[in-house]
Amino acid sequence: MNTSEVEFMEAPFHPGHLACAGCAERIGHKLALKALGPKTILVVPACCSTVIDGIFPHTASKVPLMHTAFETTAAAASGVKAALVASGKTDITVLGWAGDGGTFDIGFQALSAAAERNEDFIYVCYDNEAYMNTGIQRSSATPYGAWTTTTPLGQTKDLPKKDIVEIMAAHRIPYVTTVSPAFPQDLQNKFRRAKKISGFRFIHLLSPCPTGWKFGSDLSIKLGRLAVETNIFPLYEVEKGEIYRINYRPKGLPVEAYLSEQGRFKHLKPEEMAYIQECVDKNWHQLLLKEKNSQQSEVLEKSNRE
Amino acid sequence: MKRRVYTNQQEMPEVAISESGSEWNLTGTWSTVVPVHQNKNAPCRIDCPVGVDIPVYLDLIKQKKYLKAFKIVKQTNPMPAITGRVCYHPCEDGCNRKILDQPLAIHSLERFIGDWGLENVTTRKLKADPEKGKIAVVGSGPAGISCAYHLIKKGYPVTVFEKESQAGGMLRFGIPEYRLPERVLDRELKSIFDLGIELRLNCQVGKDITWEELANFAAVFIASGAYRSRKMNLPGENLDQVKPALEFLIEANLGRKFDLTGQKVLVLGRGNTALDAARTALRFGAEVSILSRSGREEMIATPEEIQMAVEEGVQILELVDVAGFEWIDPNQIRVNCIRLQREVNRSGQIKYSSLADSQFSLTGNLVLVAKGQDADLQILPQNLTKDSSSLEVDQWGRTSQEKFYAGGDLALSNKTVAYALGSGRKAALAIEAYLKKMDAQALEENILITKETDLNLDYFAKTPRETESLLDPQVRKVGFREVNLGMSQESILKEVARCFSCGTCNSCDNCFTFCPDLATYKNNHQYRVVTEYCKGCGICVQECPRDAIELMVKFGEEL
Amino acid sequence: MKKVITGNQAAAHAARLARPDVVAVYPITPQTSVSEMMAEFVARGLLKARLIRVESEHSVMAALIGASMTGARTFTATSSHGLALMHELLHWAAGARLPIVMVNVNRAMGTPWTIWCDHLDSLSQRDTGWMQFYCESSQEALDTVLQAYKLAEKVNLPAMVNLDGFYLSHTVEPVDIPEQDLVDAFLPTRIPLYRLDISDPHSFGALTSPEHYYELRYKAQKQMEQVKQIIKTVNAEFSRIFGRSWPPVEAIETQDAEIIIVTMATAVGTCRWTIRRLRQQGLRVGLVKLKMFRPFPGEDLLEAIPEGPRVLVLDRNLSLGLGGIIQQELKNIFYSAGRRNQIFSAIAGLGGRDITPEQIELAVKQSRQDMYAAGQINWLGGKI
Repeated sequence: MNTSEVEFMEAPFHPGHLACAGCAERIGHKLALKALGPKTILVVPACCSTVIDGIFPHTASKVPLMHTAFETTAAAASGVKAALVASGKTDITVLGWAGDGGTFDIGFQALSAAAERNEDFIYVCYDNEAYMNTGIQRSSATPYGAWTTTTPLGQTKDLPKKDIVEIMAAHRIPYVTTVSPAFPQDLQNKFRRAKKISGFRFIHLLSPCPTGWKFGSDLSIKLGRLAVETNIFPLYEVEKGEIYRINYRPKGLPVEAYLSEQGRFKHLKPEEMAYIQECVDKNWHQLLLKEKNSQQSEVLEKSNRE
Repeated sequence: MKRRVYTNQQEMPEVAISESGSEWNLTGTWSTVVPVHQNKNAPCRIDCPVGVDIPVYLDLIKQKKYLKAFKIVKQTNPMPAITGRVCYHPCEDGCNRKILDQPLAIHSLERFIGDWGLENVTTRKLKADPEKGKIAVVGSGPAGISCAYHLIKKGYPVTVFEKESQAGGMLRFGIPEYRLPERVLDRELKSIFDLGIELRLNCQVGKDITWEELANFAAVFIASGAYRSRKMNLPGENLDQVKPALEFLIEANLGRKFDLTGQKVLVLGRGNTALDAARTALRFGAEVSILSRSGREEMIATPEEIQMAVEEGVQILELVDVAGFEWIDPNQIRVNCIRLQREVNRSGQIKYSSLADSQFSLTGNLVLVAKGQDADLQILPQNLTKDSSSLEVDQWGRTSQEKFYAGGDLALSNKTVAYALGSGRKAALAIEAYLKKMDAQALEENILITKETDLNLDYFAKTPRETESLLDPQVRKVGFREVNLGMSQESILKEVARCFSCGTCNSCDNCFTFCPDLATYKNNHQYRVVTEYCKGCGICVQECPRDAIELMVKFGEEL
Repeated sequence: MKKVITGNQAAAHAARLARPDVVAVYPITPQTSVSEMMAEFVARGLLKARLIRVESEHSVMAALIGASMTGARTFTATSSHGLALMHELLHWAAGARLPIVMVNVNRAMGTPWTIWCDHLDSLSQRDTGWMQFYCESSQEALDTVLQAYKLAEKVNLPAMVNLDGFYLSHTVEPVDIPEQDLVDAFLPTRIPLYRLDISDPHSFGALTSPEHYYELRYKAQKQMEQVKQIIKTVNAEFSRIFGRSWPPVEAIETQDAEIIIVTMATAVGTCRWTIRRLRQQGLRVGLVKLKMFRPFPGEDLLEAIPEGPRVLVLDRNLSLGLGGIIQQELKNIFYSAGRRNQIFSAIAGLGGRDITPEQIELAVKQSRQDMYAAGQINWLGGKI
C-alpha cells in the first residue's frame, strides 16, 4: 500500500460532511470504503448521501462520485462500468450507494433490470427505513407499525417491510447479503468478499437514523446491534439465490428490546408488539429452514458429483 | 481552509465539479457537548488497599507484555508473589464482572506476575542521596518494607530496624509454609532489599537502640506490628493446654516440629489466624475443630481457606461461644461451650445471642485461641502514646508528632497484609511531601470510579472464571508443601481476557471504528477527539465498553 | 459505398462508424430497427462497443450519462414516449455537459396511441439544453449523426438527430455510406472535458446553492450561442472530407419570393417539389429549410428571409394552447430584429397525416389572400 492508500484506510472520506450527529450511514460508508479501497467509483442518487457529501464546489468524498437522478442508480452504475470495461480498466469497483427510497421504490425497476443483466458492480442500499432526506416519509422499506410523516399517528404503517433481500436473491445473482454497522468485522469481511466476486452484488446495510427513528444520537450502534439480536435484521448471505448462510446466531432478544428505544414505535399497543414478534419469529424460522435446505442440497450435489 | 464562493463566472468550471474537500466545514461548532477520553478508576483498583492499577496490568498480561505488567504492579506493590498468595483480595469483591458471571481471579493473576518477576527480573541497586534525608523504618513486616521500598525508589536512603533475626514480620512468623513457602518469601524480600535498603537485624528500637538515637533520621516510620494475642478473660485461660494460636504458629514457622498425632485440637476464632493454626495443627497429625462464634458465611477468614481446611478434614463448629476451660488431666482440657443464635435486624446487621439452655462441653488435648492481636504500645516513645490505649494516625500515617509516622498492624484496625502495604506506601508519600515542604493535599488522587452501570456489556459474553489447581487434600495435609499450585499459562491468558478494564482505555478501537465524523484521532494507542469536527453524537461514549470516555458540556465555546 | 437503405439503417451505420464505446438500447416504434442493428453490429464484431440492454428509456439515458461521465462515446435511439420518459435526464445530461448523441425518430405523442409522425416529441424537449437537428433525407440523417458527434464533443453539449417516423425511418433511398478511415479522420477518439477518474477524484453534479447555479447556466447558454457559428465550421470540415454540406439553414429561391415557406424535415422535400409547380403557375414562392432547431439559428433565418415577403411557417407540431412551435420561435427572432414581415402559421401532418402538395398550394394561396390573419392557425388538411 502506498501512502495515499494508507491515508485512505485511516480516513476514507473528509470530515466536515453534513450528516446528522450519530448518522449510521457514515459509519457504514466508512467501514465499506476501508474494505474496498480507493479504486472505487461511487454512484449516488438523490438521498441523504447526496446532501451529506456537501455543496458545490466542495465534496467530502475522496473517490470520484457521480451524482445521479433518484431512480437511476443501477442504470447509471451499469453505464459507468460499461465505460470502464470499454477503456480496459477492469480493476475499478463501481459502487452504487442508494437509500431505501431509491432502491425499494422509485429505483426498483432499474435495480431489478441491472440484477437480471448481472451487471458487474456492487449495489449498496443503506436502509434508514423511510425517505429521510425529504423529512421522514414512508417507503416500502418502512417497517410495520412505524410512524412517519405520511403514516402519522392513527394511520401508522399497517403493511410489512418489503423483503428486498429475498427479492434480490430471487434474481439468482452471485451475492446478496445483509450488514449492520454494529458488526464491523462482519461488514468489512462481506465487502471484501463482494469485491472479489464478478457480477451483480447487492448489500443491504441497516442504517439506524436518530432523526427519523426518534432516538438519542448516541444509540445508533446499539440499535444496529439490537436489530440483529432480536432477529429483526438477521445477518446472512445468499449466493446465486440458492446457498443460504446465516453469519451470526443472535441472542433472540424480544423485539420490544429494540422497538422500545425508538420514538417512532412509542405508540405501539401490546397486541401490535405481539404481532410484530410473531412475524419476526416466523421469518427467522423460515430463514433457518432455508439455510438447512441449502446445506442439504449442497450435500446432495456433492454426493451426486462423486 | 475556507468555503469557496466564486465571484465571477470566469473562475468557474463548466459543470458542478468539486474543487476541494469539505474539511473547511468545522462541524464541531454544531455541538454543545464533546467527548473527552478520560480514564477513571476501576472498582478493583479503588478497593485494593495498596492501590495497584489492576486493569492496566491485566491488559498487559493479555498482550503477553509480562515485564511491563510486572512493572505496573511494582509501582505500588513491592511483593506481588507474596500478596498473590496471602492477600484476602478485596479487589475481587468489587470486580464489576460479577454482574455478568463471576469476578476476575485477580489474586491468581497477581501471583502469576509476581512469580514471573521472581524468575525473570533481577533487582538493581538504586542510588540514594543522603542529602535528601535519611529515613528510619521500625519493623520489617509488610508495612515497613513497603514504606522503605517506596522511599528508596524516590532516592531516600532507608534503614530498617528489625528486632528479630530475620526480616518479614508476620509474613515469616504468622503465615504457614503451605500458604507462603519460605523460599518465595526470601526471594521476594531479597529483591526488595537489593534495591539498597539497609537492614539491621536483631535491633529493637527502644531496647537495643533508643528512640533518641534516631534523631539523626529526617523521618521515622514505625511499623512494629501487633503480635500480642488478645485474651478472652475466661476462667481457665491460663491453663497450660490453652495457648495463643499465634504463638503456636510462630513456633511452627520457626521450624519446631510438633507431634500431635491423635491429639484433639480445638481452635477458637474465625479469622485467618484461626484457619492457619488449625491447618498447621492438622499437618502435625491432629484432629482439628474450629469453634466459631459466627456462622460459617460470616467467618472473617477468606472463603477459600475455609474450603481448603474443610477438604483437609478440619471440622468447623459454627455459632459456638466458649464460657470457660476446665483442667481434666495434664493432657486433656474441657471446654465449656454454649450455642449461639443468629439474628438479622432491620438494617441487615447480624447479631449473635446465646441460646438458652444450650450449654455443652468438648474435650480436647490442646486449645488454640485466635481472637485477634493488639499492638504493644509500651515500646513506643512516650510523646506518641499520650492516651496509651491506641496510636492515632491519619490516612497518611501521620502521628501527633512531626517526623513520626506509623502504619501496619500497629496503627490500623484492618490488620491485613494489603492494608499494611498500602499504609507503608501512603506514609512514604506523606514523608516525601513533608521533607519537600509540600502540601499533603497535593497527594490527593482522582476518585472517579466506574460503576457497573457505566459499562457497555454488549461487548462481553458470559465466560466462566478459570480455576487454579490445588494439591489433593489427602496429599497436602501430610506435610507443608505449598497447597495452591496457581493457574496454567493457558488459564492465565483466558482469565485476563475476562477483565472489563473498567475506566481504563485498552485500545479496543471502538471509538475510532464507530465515529461517523472521523473525529476520533488514533495515534499508537492513544485516542483524541478532533473537536473541530466532532458533532457530539455520543456514540463513542455509548460504545466504549469500559467508561473511559466522558461526554462533557462545552462552556464558553466560541462559535 | 452506395447502398439503398432506410433512414434507420443510415442512422445505425453512422452510429457504427462513429465508434461509440457504450450503446444503450430499448425498443420503441418506429426506432426499433436502429437498436436492432446496433445489437447486430456488436454481435458480428463490426462494432466494438458495450451494449447495455436496459429496461426503459429512462434507464437508457441514465446509463449513457454514467458512461459518458466516465469518458465513453455513447449512442442511443428512441422516439416519442421513450423520449418523453427520458425528459428529466435530458436536462441532466445537458447540465452535466455530456456529448451524448441520440437519434430520435419523430412520432406523435399519445393519448391516444399513435405510431405515426409528427414533431411534438422532440420539440417538447426544446428547453432541455440538447442541440436539435432535423433531416430531410437518409443521407442527411447519416451525415448529421457524424457531424453531431464532432460538434457535441467540441462544445460539450448533447445532440439529438431527428428523423421523421416512417417517412424517413422506413423508406429506402440510395445512401453513400462512408469508409471507416474517412470517419476516423473526421472523428478521432473523444477527449472528455471531465470524467470520473480515480487518479483525479471529484464529485460531479453536487447540490449547488443559488450562489452558483445561475452562472453555470449562463456558461451553458454562452456555449449554445457559439454553436451557431461552430456548426458551420464543422459542416465545412465535413464537406471537405465527404463532399456533402448540410447548413443549419438552407434558402431555396428566396431572393425574389413574395412568400416564403419555412419548414423542417421531410416536408421540406415536398415543398421543394411544390414550389417548382407554383412557380410554373407564376407564383413567386420561396422555401427556407430549417435544419438546426436548437440553438435556433436566428441570424441565418433573418439572412435567408428578406424584409418584404410574407412568411408561411409550416409546423408539423401543435403546442396545445399556443399553436405551432416554429412559428413562435421565428416570430420571437423577427420581432426582436424589428422585422415587419407578415408571418402566417399553418399546422399540418399531425399524427402522421400526409402533408400533400395540394395542402401546401392551398396554404400559399390562402396566405396571399390574407385569408388567415397573422396569429390565426391555418389547419391544413384537417377535417374541420
